[in-house]
Amino acid sequence: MNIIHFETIDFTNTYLKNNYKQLDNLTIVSSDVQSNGRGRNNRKWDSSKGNNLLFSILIKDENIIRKYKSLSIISAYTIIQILKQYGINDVYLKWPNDVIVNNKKICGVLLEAVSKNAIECLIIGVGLNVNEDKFDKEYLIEATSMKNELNKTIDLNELKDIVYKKFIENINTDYDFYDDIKECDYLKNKRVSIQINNKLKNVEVIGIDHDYSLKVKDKDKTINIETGEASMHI
Amino acid sequence: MKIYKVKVNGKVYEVEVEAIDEVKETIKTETKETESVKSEGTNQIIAPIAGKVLDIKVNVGDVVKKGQTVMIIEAMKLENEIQSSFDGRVARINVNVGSDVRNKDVLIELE
Repeated sequence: MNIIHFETIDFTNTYLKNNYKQLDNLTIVSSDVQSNGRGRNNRKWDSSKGNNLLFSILIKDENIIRKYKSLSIISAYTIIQILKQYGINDVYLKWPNDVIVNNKKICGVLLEAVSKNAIECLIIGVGLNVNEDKFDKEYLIEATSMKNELNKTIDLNELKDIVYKKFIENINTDYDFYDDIKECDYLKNKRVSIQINNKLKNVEVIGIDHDYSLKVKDKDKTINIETGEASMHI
Repeated sequence: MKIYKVKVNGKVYEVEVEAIDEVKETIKTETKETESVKSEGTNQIIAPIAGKVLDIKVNVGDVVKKGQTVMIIEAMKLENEIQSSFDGRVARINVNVGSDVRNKDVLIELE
């Protein structure tokens, strides 16, 4: 594994976007602190306190790039596998790629690509709350961490090793994760607000479909959602 | 007139189909010139995947350098940064933020 570690950086995804041409396939960039981390739709990913696992993986192998439609959700599922290994069992995948424990967000994934007329590389960015124990209340979704859930401090170096190896394994395999992912579908049978044809609609979630789109029921129509985000109604 | 539900690439469409008499009538088809038709003398920046336009980083008239990010397209949880393969001036932007694009659609034309 080729790992580049920073004590502090603006955003690990940005580093790979700026340097992907010179770096090898499956290079990992990690940082103790990110000053400008972000999630999907440009939302800020606050990771200023140095207690968490923040890393990005560069993918240049065309055989893996071809699987781009599933990589984001498989990345989230990889974190679920590791959390279960650590004894956190009430863990779910909230479509498209949030990891939820006890109805709180513990991990986010941002999959980015750089393209000219074809995809030149993919970058999987992961932010996992590990030893963080206080979270700002300003965020819409409540957050949690491994430390909060397990009531103990986690050895970050040991965790990194496990996580990186599992990611490399899952990225490279041809194993079909669909049945495993279906088992931890957080939104299944729930009502959510979601954009359909530029209109915000309240729909019932049927579940994650085999192509990893979200299958929903809008009155008598069944629709597969590929982009955007589902906000859950309580 | 019958209405059918057709699923194409995961998206469900409602399609109205009218049965015709083959001898008596012909179906008139309307061809719309889509915004992805090539203009003369321009370099095209095309969509590498189908998705939704999340952000457009340039305006018509801007000078663009090869390698500059001009647009972000989102698809299947992937944010795709589209870089220009050419130097040039933006002549035409064929999409808006929120537009759905298909693979190989012409997004931007440079002169």
